[in-house]
Amino acid sequence: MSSEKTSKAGVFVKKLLINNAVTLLFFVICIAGIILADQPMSYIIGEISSRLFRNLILILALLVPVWAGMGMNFSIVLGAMAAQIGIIVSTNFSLSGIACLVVSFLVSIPLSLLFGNLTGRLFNQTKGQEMITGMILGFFAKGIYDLVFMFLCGPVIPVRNESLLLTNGIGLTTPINLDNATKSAINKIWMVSLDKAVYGVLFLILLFFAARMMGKMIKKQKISGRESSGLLASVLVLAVFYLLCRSSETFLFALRFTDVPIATGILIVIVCIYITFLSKTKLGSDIHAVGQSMPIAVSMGIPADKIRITAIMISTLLAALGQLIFIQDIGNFTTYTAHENVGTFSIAALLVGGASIKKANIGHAILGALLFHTMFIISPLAGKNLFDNAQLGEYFRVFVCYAVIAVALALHAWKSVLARRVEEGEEE
Amino acid sequence: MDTLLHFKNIKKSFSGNVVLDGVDFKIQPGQIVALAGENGAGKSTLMNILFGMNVIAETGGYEGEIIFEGKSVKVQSPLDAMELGIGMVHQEFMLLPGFTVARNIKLNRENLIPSLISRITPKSYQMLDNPQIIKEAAGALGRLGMEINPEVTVDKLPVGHMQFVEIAREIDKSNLKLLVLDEPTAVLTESEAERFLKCIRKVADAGIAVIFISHRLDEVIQLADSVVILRDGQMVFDEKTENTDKHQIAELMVGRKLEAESLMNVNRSFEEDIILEIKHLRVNMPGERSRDVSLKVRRGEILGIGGLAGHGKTSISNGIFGMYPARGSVHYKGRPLSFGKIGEALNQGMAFVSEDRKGVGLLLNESIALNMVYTDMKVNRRFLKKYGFFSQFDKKSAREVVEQMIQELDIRCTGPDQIVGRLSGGNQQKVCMARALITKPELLFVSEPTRGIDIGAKQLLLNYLVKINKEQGITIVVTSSELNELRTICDRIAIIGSGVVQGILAPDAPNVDFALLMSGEKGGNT
Ligand SMILES: Nc1ncnc2c1ncn2[C@@H]1O[C@H](COP(=O)(O)OP(=O)(O)OP(=O)(O)O)[C@@H](O)[C@H]1O
Ligand SMILES: [Mg+2]
Repeated sequence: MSSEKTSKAGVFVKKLLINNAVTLLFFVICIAGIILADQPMSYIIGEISSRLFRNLILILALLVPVWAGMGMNFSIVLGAMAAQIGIIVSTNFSLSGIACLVVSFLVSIPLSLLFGNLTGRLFNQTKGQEMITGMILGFFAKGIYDLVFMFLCGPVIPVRNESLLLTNGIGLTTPINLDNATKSAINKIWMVSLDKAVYGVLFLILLFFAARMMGKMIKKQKISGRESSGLLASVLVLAVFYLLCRSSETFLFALRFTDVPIATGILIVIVCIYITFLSKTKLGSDIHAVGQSMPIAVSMGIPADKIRITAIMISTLLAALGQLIFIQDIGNFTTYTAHENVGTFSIAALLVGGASIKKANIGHAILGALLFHTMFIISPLAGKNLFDNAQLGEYFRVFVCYAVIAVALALHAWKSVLARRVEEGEEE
Repeated sequence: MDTLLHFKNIKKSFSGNVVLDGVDFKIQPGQIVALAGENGAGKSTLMNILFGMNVIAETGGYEGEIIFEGKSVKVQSPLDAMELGIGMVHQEFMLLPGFTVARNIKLNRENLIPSLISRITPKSYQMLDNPQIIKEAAGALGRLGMEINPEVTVDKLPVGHMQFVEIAREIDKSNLKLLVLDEPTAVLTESEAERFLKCIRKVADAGIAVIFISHRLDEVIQLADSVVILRDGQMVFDEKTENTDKHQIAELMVGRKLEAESLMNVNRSFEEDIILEIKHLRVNMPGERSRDVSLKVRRGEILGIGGLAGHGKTSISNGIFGMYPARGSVHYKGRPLSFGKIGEALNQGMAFVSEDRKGVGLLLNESIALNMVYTDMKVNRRFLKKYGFFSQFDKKSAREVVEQMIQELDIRCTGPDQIVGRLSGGNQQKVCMARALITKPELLFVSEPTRGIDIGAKQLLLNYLVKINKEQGITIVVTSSELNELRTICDRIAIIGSGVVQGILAPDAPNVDFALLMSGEKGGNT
């Protein structure tokens, strides 16, 4: 009896390991990297936090097409372009500060929806090959983008703001810099040190669960395990976090040293809420249905083609918002290349977080952003310490991005084979 | 009574190949019409026209007129059909495996509650009302008398239950006036089928007209109010059921006289030359688990495996062929077989026709010829032209064999080059069968050999199995839920119950003995 129990637990652990093989691998790499890099904790925590806020929306933009069975949407590059066009337009009219960003976003909304719609239509012509189509479409769109901004701006398209143009009057300069009022305008609305932010978030979560329990008590409904365990977990985490802060000076210092942009955080939360909400709506249900089987969805009267286009439009729009947040955080962008790696980096991050081309959720996105960007920061430093050569780490960084996608996809395929084998040992 | 539906002189051809030619009949509300005909007679095509399926428009539409409730209608899409009140259960399953039963039943008709956003944006942002969805789905299942948990996902259901879920989905539609069932009982066991027929009767009694397609003529007689028969796309018969009988229907379908079935292999004797020995086999196949099966197969015989659905009879061959995880030991010609490896049994000279023809099946976009020789090409490397390191499919050498198979199994097609996806359901199954037969296996496993195959072709097929057994000495293990079929061709029949062998009987053993074993009363001898 007891041996049966242990073997069952063994199977469970094995399954857990196999199912999270990709994530675990990168987790180990990250830990090793952190140790090798030998950097102050404040530096690492600060970097990770700022990159998380900078990149997360771009990664979240990938989720909906995965639900729709279209795989990783490489064409979020087009959303990034829409955001850049928005910024170019508002810079052209010499807007500044929040107004500049808001106008940029307003310009990028119709653009990204249009791009998304066209992309969706193209994908409907190449069903089953969306990923490769998306990749090629990215190159193609770059060609048009370059044509417009490198050659047509100036001679054909009038540009009001002279500082945008190259000295010969043909084509835009690169990089395009946001002025001081615009740079980090959203971030600067409200900065809070990380320790306070974590306390705040934990309290909010606690409040949320408590309020739900209260609500149910008032309505005399049964309280499900979800609320009570949620409440318990948030109390526990809060206690652990408190103890950690009290016991480790360096940890507390690192947190205090790091400021997080609350307004950006709220934007991210809104996107998360939107995605969660979407999955509970009719549209979300249709998207999932189409993702499972297009012929069946169609025969039940779900307009699959339209739904797929909608999914890509949502994704492209979110990508535009994500790229805008990214650029305001950095403060400038290289006019002709800033969008290039948006697709590959976001996809690599999402895959590292444990998503596959068939399944992806917000948790995967957050975890992936954390791990992928930790590795990004750490690898050049680790390289420097190990081989006394930062360049090596730099190579490693680029190599890793592309390798991640290949390795993650291969591991996911291998995983299903392994999981099957474990199950053989399982039965009753 | 008013006519609900009138097919008026319907004609349809697929690139010149006429498959429906002047079909013309009427249906009244609450009436059950059986649509019978051989494989490829055009039944599914007619229903696809009625339901506005894409294939029809893509292949040039149809001629004739459909009159629904007195009005001439052009059904352009499944959605149009649903709005008219036409529901359809297709020949292949139309359920989303990762969705729950409830969500499948209410698919695209979900109960919604307005959300904050949906007041200002389109309706698609309304939220799903899950408790209500579950309640109504459970209600629909309840009306069918089925106890299926509406909250499990469909991929965890046994095949038999899926069919009920599909019916529940259709009867849950409040405006349902006409229900089309394309071979709904083909995947059900006899007892499930009986229950199913009762459900359909109930549906019809509620005033809903039903078009029912089946190759099981007993069911047709039992259930239908009238029978329409198609032969090669022409309507050859439209009569009240009480004015006809099973034999007339069968002969009209096939267009020739049929011999009565007889037990072919009673009292053949074999030496104790064991070709396959199964010991304590335990297969973890969802919905069909076997616990401890031990069986010996003698060289040259036809062994039947029977039993009720869900008791594990289908898991045996699936386990041996590595389709599901299994434990125990299997010896083939005295040597242990590593059956966990997919392809191992094939390489050892066995072949398998699975009961799940859609899942393990055909290359739907390839020709009949390539599909038939595909396995043989991979396993035995026949039909290949060799160019140094490369080899290529040799069409010419395959052609003869393929043409012979098409003739033997009476596959209705335009020729060996026709794309398999364009064959009728039954003819696709015959291609599956041919693919296994062509490998000339020493030991052949067949599951549900006649599923979805018409009565004429059924006899042909069973005869062919016996023929290759006698002439080529191929040992055959047949798994089937139709006991009569097993009795017709087998030397011995093993009955599986609760995951173990309950006993082995001769084909001429009395009915009671079979019934007793199936119900789990141990008995019988080896
Ligand atoms: N998409 C298609 N393209 C070309 N021919 C087709 C197509 N679909 C069906 N056919 C042909 O139409 C004929 C009728 O097929 P149909 O599927 O209606 O038969 P059926 O009566 O349903 O047979 P079964 O009992 O085997 O299901 C067959 O000869 C088939 O080859
Ligand atoms: Mg059919």
